[in-house]
Amino acid sequence: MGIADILQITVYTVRLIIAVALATYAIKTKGTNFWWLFGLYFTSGVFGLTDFILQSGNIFALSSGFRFICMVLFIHYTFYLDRNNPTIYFFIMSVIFGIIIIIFNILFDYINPLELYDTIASITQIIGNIIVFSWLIYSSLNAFLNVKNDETIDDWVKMRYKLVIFYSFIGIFVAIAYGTINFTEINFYAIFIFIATITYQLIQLMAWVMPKFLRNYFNRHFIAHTSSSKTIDELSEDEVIIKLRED
Amino acid sequence: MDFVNFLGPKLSALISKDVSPCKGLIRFAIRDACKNPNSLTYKDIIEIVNKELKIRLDQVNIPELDQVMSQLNKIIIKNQSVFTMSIY
Repeated sequence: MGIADILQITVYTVRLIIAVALATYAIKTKGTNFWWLFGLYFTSGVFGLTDFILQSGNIFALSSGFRFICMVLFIHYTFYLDRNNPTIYFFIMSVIFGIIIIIFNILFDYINPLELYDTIASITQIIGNIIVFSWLIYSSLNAFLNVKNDETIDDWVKMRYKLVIFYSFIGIFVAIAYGTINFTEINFYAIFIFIATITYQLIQLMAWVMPKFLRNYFNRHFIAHTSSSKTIDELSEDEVIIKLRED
Repeated sequence: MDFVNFLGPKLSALISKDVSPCKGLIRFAIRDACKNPNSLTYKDIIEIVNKELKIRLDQVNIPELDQVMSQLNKIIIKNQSVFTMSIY
């Protein structure tokens, strides 16, 4: 087993660990959106490891469409419930791209293994990732700008938006790299992409399953702000009614 | 994130009353719904605002209640990600 194999196993194993963390988090918080992120990581980890064990090179591509769909539904459930949104178009795009990737990467490759088919599959995969991640960046940035100056929103929540935007940019970079660079041997680029991938995954984990100490750290100024105003808010039921009925 | 702290000032601006009693009213609405204020989902918030909080606002004779409710819903829907992003 070479270094390239170890790097590959590490990437997929980290994905499975993140999937378990996200599942635990989704159960604890009752957050529907996190199940879709779990789906993305779980399929990615399982299909990636299977691909590696069987040395197929095509199995991971099978899950592309499903991973796009998971991402699209994650964005929908996080940002766009109860409002007009383009989810349906991204969903249809994901299905079409998934089918194109399967056809060109697996079926055509099996019938007639031309490099052109792999190239078409890779380009489709890159475009799909760019579109989905760009939508995530747009949605997060829009929402962040909406709340940036709102003093009632915790600083750690604002930081979460920033982390999502940051890891989405790395996600685009990683997707382009995986689609264009051949990782059969270890070189500077392979190591660089490996580090970028692990960084992308860890930032994503940090954003969604943020440890308490980090939350407290990001929120250090906010806690001071709210604690000083707490006492005036604790009015009795009668006081509240009287105050609201006053002109 | 504290949903009461978030929505209190918005409700206060909509009905032109002090922030403190508005926060108090929201706190009572959450209590009426028998929900844990620390683990409210977006769906819980929409339900509480349109049921318990609406009843409470009606009880204190807030004028043009339907318009206030419509504005409150718009604010919550527009800021939906604040609730999904702030659960932990």
